[in-house]
Amino acid sequence: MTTKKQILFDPHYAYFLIWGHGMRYKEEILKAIRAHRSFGVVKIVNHDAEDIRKLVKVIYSHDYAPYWHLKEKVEYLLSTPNSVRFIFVQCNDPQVSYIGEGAFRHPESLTVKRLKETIRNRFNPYVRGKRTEHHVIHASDNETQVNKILKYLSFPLGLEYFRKKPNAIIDAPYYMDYFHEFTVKIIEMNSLYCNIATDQNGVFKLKTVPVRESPHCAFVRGDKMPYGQYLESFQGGLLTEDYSPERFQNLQKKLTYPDYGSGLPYIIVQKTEGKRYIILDGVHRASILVGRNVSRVIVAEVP
Amino acid sequence: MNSTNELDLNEFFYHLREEVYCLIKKSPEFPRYYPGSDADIFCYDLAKVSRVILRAADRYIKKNWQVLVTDKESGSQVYIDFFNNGELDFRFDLYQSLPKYKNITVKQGLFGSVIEGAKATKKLRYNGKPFPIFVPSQTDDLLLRYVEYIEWYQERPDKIKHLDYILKHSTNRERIKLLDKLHFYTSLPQDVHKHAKRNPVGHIVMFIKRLVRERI
Repeated sequence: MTTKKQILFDPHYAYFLIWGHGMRYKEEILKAIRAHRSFGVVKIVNHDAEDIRKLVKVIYSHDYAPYWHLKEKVEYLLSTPNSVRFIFVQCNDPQVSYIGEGAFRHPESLTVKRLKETIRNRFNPYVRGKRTEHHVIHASDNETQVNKILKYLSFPLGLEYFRKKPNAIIDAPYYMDYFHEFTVKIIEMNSLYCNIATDQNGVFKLKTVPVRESPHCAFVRGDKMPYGQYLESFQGGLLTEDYSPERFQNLQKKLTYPDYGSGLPYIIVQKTEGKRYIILDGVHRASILVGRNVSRVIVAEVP
Repeated sequence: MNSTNELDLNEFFYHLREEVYCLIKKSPEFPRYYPGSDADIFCYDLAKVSRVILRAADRYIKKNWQVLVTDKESGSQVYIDFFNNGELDFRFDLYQSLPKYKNITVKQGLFGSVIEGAKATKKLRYNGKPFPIFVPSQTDDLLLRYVEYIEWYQERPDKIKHLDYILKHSTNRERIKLLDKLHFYTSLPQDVHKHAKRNPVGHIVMFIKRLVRERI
């Protein structure tokens, strides 16, 4: 049940779904969403549907119009590729309003609707100068639909997954497990390691490397290619957070660490064998500090 | 045991000056402390106060101190432990509600009452800048000592010193307020004297009678 506090203070979540025939525009669509001042990208998930019909039914079964009403409208989707992308966003100005009449009346975010139409106007196929209704993207109307799609994508907590605060005191990303204990300490930069996504003969795995050997560090040292290729290869798969070279470059210019202005954004680590620490959150920040020749760094170590 | 000023407690409380808190059982030696001792702090927002303390801890961490933060009791108590060379030097023990007492029943409303009734001490200084520390009012200080006596007497009979302290450090007016507040906020659990090895009830009855008699 949504509490008053959630209505007042919690951000509003939505998703955009890029259908198979729109995937060639995926980077531009992502850029358009990022550029919108009301949205922050939270998660990017590539999904290969076993059966495109089934996916279409799942998406539209949560629509407020009955499926039989939509069947003609979505017929074109049944022949599109089954590789799609979900982009989950936070919206700080959802402008939720009630749309429709009678049994079809439902709450809908006007902000999401407007951006959806803008993207459709730009990327939908055109015939004789007129935009077709073969939409390249679909968007959620409201958080109930976001909750259901997250569960469909095997995030069993649904929306609570995004709202999760793993620790009440320090800043920790929602995807971490809850922890009730941590130690703040200073460690040698050389003891920091990170898990990097790799493609080993078509098998995607994580590999542990010293942070100095990460594509992030290469980027900071001026070699931008490895990082760009890294995102190209794994974004939406092993990397589901929103990373981009532009964001990293911005962070590189602005980073003060630790920045106690708001919250406590420590680099979060976990000790492994020997004197190694694996970064659980903060690879980008650690790489920037390596680039600045920082030899010791304050971290929060979790059990 | 020698007291130590490895940590400058004035510095931490200077940074806490804008927060709403109450330092319970402030040591007479404050800001000096003995290794292994602690500061019990009541506050409304554990996370906020914890963050202030951690920010102030920055310069110690850079000198290789380690700060272990433990969230107990699902969010109503936090330990912030300062370790120097592997040894526990000092603890900030933060509460967002009253501790759970086994031998006395205390209404949770007392927690807010203690914070709201907190008084500012004479101003201390940190780097030349004055700041107060907030401690319980006289009545609340006496009441909390009474609660501590009841809670721990069976294990620590030396806690009876709290009753003597109360009698010695209270005026007539304060005793009236103490009795009223005791009556309102506390009661003994039904079976406290059924299972007690040492029966505190006799002490309590005598203590209350003395409070009443000596205020007249």
